[in-house]
Amino acid sequence: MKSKNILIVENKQQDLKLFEYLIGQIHTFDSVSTGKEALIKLSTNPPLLILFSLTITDIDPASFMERVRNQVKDSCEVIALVPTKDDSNSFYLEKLGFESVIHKPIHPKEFLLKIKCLVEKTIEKETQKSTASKYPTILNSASFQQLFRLSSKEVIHQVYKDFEIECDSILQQIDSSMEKITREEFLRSIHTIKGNSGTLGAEKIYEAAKYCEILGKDQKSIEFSNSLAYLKAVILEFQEFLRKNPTVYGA
Amino acid sequence: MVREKIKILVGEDSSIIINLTKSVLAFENYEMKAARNGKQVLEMLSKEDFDLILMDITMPILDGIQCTKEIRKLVDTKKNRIPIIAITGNAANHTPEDFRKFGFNDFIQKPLNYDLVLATVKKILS
Repeated sequence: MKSKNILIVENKQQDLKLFEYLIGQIHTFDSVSTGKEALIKLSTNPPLLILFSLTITDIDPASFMERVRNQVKDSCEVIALVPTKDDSNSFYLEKLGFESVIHKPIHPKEFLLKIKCLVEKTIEKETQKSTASKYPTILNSASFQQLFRLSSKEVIHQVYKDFEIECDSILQQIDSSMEKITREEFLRSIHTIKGNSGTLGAEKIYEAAKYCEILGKDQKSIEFSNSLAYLKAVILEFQEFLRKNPTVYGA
Repeated sequence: MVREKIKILVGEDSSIIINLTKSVLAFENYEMKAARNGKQVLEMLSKEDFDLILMDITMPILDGIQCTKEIRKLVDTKKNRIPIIAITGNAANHTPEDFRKFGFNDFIQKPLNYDLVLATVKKILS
């Protein structure tokens, strides 16, 4: 499975070709020419963004938005493609839940800029949602699912195995009180485990490593030592979690 | 006609991030090579052409900021204009303006959100 597409819903062939050409320069896309086809796409391949032309005749905008919200909740934004320069419908369209309105004929540069901004905004919104839980989790399922969607499962399994080896290494460093390495090297290891844990969705380790890094740089010895004890505890907890959930390893 | 694959160089010292990024980029049909530090980035860039660099800020031997400054000073106008996206684990330490002054075209924060990584790569390459 690849990254989410932009779905173009346009029944005017000339406009469709133009949108496909422009969007193809910045993002992957699917295109359909009826509302019915669009709703099928929603269930088989949920898009990141939908461009919905108001010239579509087999479904009205209000019904389309209702079906979209029922199927994909608010995980994708919908843009209305309006066939005139007339702005009078904009308020009504926004009330229906359209994120934005683009009037035809479009200006290619402005069109692309607007789509780029909306793509970034949607991704950021998704990220905020996935990290909005009150407490960090041992393994954030949204991050884990995202990696599975964008990569092969063999690589993901291997990466989690590698991460566990890295965890073992930092546990050894904590237990040996950094005797064999300099403080700078130790802080670099913590920085690395911070970036890796966060990317892999190991939120508790990420938060603990972030805290250790701040205290370590501030030279607060007692607090740093306490934070290392906490980092060790959450790493052990993560390793126990992996043992109880062997599917993460592909077992 | 078969289009040549877009080549991306990743400067990153974490093998976990390298393997993950390589796999994600390959899924999107990009070709990726990795360098473990800024010095290796410069060496690889001198021998080969790339379309884009993803550059971690915190790397041993030569960090991402220094490496980017060196690239912008290269005589070869194709190489010194290569788009470079910074990857930073401590984005709060720098403003977007700082990143631009260092010579980066854009920046991405760690923890990496690979949907955002792909969107940024596509945006810069477009």
